[in-house]
Amino acid sequence: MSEFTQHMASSAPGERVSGANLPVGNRSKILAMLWIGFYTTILNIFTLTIFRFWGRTHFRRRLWADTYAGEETIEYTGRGLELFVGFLIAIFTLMIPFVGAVIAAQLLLGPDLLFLVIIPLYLALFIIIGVAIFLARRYHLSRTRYRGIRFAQTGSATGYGFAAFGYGVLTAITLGWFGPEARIRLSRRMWDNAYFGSEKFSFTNNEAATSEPVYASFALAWVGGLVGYGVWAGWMFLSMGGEDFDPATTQDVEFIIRLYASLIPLIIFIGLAMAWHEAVMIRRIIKSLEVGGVRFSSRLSTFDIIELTITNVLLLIFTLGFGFMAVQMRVWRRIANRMSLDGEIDFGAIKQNEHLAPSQGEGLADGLDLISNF
Amino acid sequence: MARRFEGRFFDGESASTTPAVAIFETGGLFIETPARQFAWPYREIAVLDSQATECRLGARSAPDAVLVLPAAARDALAEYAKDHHGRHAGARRLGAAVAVMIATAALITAILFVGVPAASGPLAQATPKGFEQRIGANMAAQIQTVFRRCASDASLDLLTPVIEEMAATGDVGFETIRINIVRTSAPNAFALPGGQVMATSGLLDALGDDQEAFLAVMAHELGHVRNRDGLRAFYRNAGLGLLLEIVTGGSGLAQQAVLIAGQLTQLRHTRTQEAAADEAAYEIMARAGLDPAALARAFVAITASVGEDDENDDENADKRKMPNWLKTHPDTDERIAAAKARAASTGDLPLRASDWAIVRDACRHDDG
Repeated sequence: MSEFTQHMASSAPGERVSGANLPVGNRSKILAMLWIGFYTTILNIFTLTIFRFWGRTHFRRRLWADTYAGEETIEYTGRGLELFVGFLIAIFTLMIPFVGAVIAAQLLLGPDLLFLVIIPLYLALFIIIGVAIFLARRYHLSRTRYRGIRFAQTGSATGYGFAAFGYGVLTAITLGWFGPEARIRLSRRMWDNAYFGSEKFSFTNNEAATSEPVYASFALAWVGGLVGYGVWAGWMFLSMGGEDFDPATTQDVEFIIRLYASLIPLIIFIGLAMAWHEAVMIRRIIKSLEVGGVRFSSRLSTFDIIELTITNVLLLIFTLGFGFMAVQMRVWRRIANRMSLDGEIDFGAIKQNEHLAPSQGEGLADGLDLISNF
Repeated sequence: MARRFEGRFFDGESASTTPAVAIFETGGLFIETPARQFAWPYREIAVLDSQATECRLGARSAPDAVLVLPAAARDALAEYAKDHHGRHAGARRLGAAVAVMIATAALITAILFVGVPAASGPLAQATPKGFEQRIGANMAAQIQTVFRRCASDASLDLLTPVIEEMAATGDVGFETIRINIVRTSAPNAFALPGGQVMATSGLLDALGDDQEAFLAVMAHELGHVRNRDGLRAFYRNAGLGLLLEIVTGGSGLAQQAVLIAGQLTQLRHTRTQEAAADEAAYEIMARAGLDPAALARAFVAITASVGEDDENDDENADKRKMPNWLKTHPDTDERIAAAKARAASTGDLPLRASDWAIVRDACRHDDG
């Protein structure tokens, strides 16, 4: 057999497909994901978690291979070794120097000078978190392919890092009220610089997207959270003996059990209060997306979020934690199965992406423990 | 005999699809589309996905091209390219990779749990003393932002020359010894790097009038200073920190395993160092003309102060716990016996009773 040969290049014919003929969804099986989660957990123990890069790759391959638009599935082409090399680079160029600088400052500077060095270092870390998230996504998209065409993320990682930091400060100052706007802006920054081959995504403010009740749902979550916490704190205060309660002397087991037990209804209440907002935000972002003439839509409901949260918590408990990949799959499967496409796309007009893909990835995000598996 | 399958092909140049016929032959896989023909050597072919009804193939030399064929084509590939795509080829490759990972993990573990602790001693000895003193001074300042210093200058002025004299005759290696007493009821003493020694008000309370027992505890801490144990612990911890950094993001189980292994390693080294510091204390006491057996009295008094409090007295709850000074140390009864065996006749105590009273009560009257 001779070398790879290729004859007679010709232009690809046009292939216009209506969004209605491109049903989107995911058909992942829970057992397959439980198996990947199980062996990843076991092998992590014996490999000092080095296997996690390969486990994550297996998960993504399976998840994307089970995700389809029309009759074609998505492909994840990343490799465990790329993630591992990226991690090593990040550890030796950033994490160890950072930790070294913090330790050196602690050892060599007095308490007064220490804060002058530590505070800027930690502020820089917050910006680096945003940079890491952006770089991880750039890698992930560059290793995602549909119909042989690669996705890509362009734009400035540093700009994203500063924006995420600034929005975080604004969110804190406004007691959370800037949060939804921050999330939308950061999504826009990502998607407006994302490509499917030669086609650029756009994050539009179309009517379907902007009609989502972002701030009404946030108000319910915010007020609900405040009321829930207030009722919980008041109940705890009274049930612990009111003004006579002294937490310093009350450290018995019964107190700790009561404290944690009382948190369960609080978490459920706040979760319920936030479910509507979470569904709204996911719909808001998906409905904003357009690429190559098709617009994305979502029917994800508040009930979807509530049901997924409850069943996923149970799944995690009953699998002793190794169901974490199945949990992430179930979230994506529901989002994908509630998604649809409108408009028309000409696949023949979409050419291969020419942006240079990173040779390794996600190391920084992994070093900072920011990685979700998908 | 060749096997033919009909499928579809993406050339990796545009997103459009074309029908394709794939022919598996001995020499390789031949792909025919209406416009083009391709030949993929088996060694270059990668199975991108294999599902119940379809499989997807790619080739390293045409990295974005995708050939989608019926699932049966996967068997044909295994048949024609046993070496690359046989039934267990993928599992074998992954198994080999996992074996390399486990070997790497074992090597890292050995370096950090055996190599780094073994190197920590020579590394500490090679560290310039001025650098170590600076580290110790900053650590002491940071500790005092949490634990308030309670001894008056007058009491420290009395105590410091005595300890420095012991350090000089005991060949501790640091001329300047900085003594500090911090307010906390747990009877404890510890040495930081570079000749910084701290004792707690709880230790003074526990030892009461027994000046010699207090000096024996100080001699033990001077032993740590001489052996540069604070710096050695720092180097060991840095190794453990690095390992934890590597497993960050990994599973909780693996992180816990590393933490437990790290604690056990620390404990083993701490015990060795404590035994060495006891030996150093006997020598330092003897050279200072003091009775090494006073260390035994210190152990007894500290143990008694921890056990004698009223169990219902919440204010002394922290005292009832095993003091740190004893917890990480070798068996207390054995240490008492060893210290008693070193009993020797001694001269006068360095501080007059009235001066010792000033030191002993240093934290009792200072509520400010």
